[in-house]
Amino acid sequence: MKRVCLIGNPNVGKSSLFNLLTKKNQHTGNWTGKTVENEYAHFWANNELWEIVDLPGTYSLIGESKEECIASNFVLENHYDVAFIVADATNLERSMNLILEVLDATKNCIVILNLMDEAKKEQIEIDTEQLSTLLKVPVIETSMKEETGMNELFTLLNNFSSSPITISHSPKITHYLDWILPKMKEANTALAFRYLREPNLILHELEEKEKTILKFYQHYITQTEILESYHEFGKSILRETYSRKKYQEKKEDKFWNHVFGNRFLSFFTLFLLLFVLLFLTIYLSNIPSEFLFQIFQKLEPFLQNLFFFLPSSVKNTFIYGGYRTLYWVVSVMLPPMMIFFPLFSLLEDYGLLPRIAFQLDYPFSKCGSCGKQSLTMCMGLGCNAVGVTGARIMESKKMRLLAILTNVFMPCNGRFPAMISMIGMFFVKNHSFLGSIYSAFILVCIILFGIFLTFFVTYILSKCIYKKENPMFLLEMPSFRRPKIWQTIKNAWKEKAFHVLKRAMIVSFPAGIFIYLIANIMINGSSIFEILITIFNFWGPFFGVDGVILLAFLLGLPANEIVIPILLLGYTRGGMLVEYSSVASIKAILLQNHWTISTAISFLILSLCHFPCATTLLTIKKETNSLFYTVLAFLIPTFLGLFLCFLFHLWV
Amino acid sequence: MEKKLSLLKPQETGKISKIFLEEPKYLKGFSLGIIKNNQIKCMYQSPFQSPICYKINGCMFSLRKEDADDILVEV
Repeated sequence: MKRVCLIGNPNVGKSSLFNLLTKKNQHTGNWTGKTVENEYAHFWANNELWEIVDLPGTYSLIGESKEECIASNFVLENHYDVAFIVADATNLERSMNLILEVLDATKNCIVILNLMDEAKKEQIEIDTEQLSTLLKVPVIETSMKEETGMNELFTLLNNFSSSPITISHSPKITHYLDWILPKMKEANTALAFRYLREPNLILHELEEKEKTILKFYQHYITQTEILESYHEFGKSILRETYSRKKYQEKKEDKFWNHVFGNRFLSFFTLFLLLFVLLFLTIYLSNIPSEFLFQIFQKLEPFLQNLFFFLPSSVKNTFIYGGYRTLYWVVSVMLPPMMIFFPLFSLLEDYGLLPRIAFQLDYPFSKCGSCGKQSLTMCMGLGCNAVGVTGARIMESKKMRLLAILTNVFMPCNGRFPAMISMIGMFFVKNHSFLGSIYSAFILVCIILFGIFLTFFVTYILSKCIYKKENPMFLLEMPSFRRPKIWQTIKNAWKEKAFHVLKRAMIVSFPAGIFIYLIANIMINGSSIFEILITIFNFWGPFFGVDGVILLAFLLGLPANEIVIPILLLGYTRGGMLVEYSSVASIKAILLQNHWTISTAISFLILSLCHFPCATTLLTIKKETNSLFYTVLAFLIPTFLGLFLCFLFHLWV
Repeated sequence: MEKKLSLLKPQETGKISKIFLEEPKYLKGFSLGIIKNNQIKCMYQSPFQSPICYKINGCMFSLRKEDADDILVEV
């Protein structure tokens, strides 16, 4: 099996090409740093199976940042047959350095000029043939949006010819190359530059005297000079092949530049977008939610009959424990996710996320972090585990840690359906249009409170982790690109919504059975559940809640989605007493158990602010590689949440 | 007239003349087009004055004020 790798600047459409080739639905986004890990997949071209690797975007192979290292290691290790260098046709100046650097490492390349449709609109003229002659590798024009150029790419894959290019470097660098290249097993300029950074790779092959010379070159040639040398050569190529007329700003960009340039308008717009997003989620998900409830409820007697042969205790465990928890999770979670994820993806593909990071950079910098943390928070709004992985885009180790530890303060999709139903039960009278506006407003306030907590905890932590650093905040603002609406919606459903739902279902069914069992197995006349509740009931009143709530959060550790079903199972002692078929009947159960508005508020505080779910904790362990920080990530929000509840209880 | 990049007002354009950024920052800037003799345009400031959004070769990026202080432009 042959292998190709995709390499290119951030946000030039590598992942889109990856999806188009493999017919996969890896999620793409219009911002730098969307892909943080190498992605592998397969595709067929001319009756041959190929493996394709999507590398994180990078500007250069020479630098020392994480994605640059991943990309350069991969390119230099040479475990591929063809490298696709994806370049931005609208801004070839910027892609040129990377193209040349890769060409210095391997001659098996195809240069792909993507975004040709936009380049044509901007009246950029590219002499592709001349470019191909100068670079000595095939160059093809593509557009992921119009899906053009793919056939040429397939034909090229099997029979393409290229010859090594000789890049003329500055005298200083030529001097070094003349010295080192003969000493290498295989003369490779890119590898020679690598030795300047990591001399250990070759030191053992050198004699004493030569080691001293290499050390001298290390000080003599800086990374800057190498880059500038490539740049000079690239400029000479571009002069012959690439010309742009005076840049005309798109109307759309002009409008948004105006909005984000205005102090009040920019914040107002972001607030409004968040509000509309949540409002649509709440308003549109009411009806399908009720509908799903009813369908699942109608199925219950059918299931009873289907498993008539089972003893009633086993049957009840499955139906009252497993099935009811499952259907609660599905009917409450599925509709909001089906609406939230696509809408959010649309905003993301349009290119709005970097603007949020831009707006929030200043407050974050005062807290010792940077604006990119807001990107990880946006991801956390979908799923905290994703947000934690996404923290790799942070510039420094310290900021990355801050982003990981505070991500839990963004209510993830597992939590906010529970919040929505809680708001719906206790703060809003009906589910009308106005009611939805009101609940969306409350939810926005909760999220703003979460953002406030993020700032607060980030500030405190950055004072504790002492390490003075001031990396550059250099964030690209991609131009706004109209997303392919239907495709984005479909991808969001396929990849995100069903993924999260599947996880919730896998956890909720066994969890339901477990709760049912501990609620019904008797020891000395009282069930295990009751014994546990008695223990927790002692602590509950300090925080204005009861033992069942605390226990529900604790047992909800595998997945936050099941907190409310556990709560209901707890109150109904195994779901035997009441059928919780709709929101109204759930409210009745809660009221019977002495819930008041202040209990509901405490519940909301706790659900915003408690330990992250098991998946997130495992991700944190994997990402930080430290048990200490994982425990910290567990303890900080838990203590903060309990403390806030305690304060609230005192105040009430 | 030469002045700090951070003093460029929105919609003003200048030509980069000197860059005092140190190596890691310089390399990052280089990859985005902060190179001597390139034309740079100030697009807009964030509500808190920093960061500031600039444009080079038709592509936009943001830069904090303290980093923009280390770049001189010819207006």
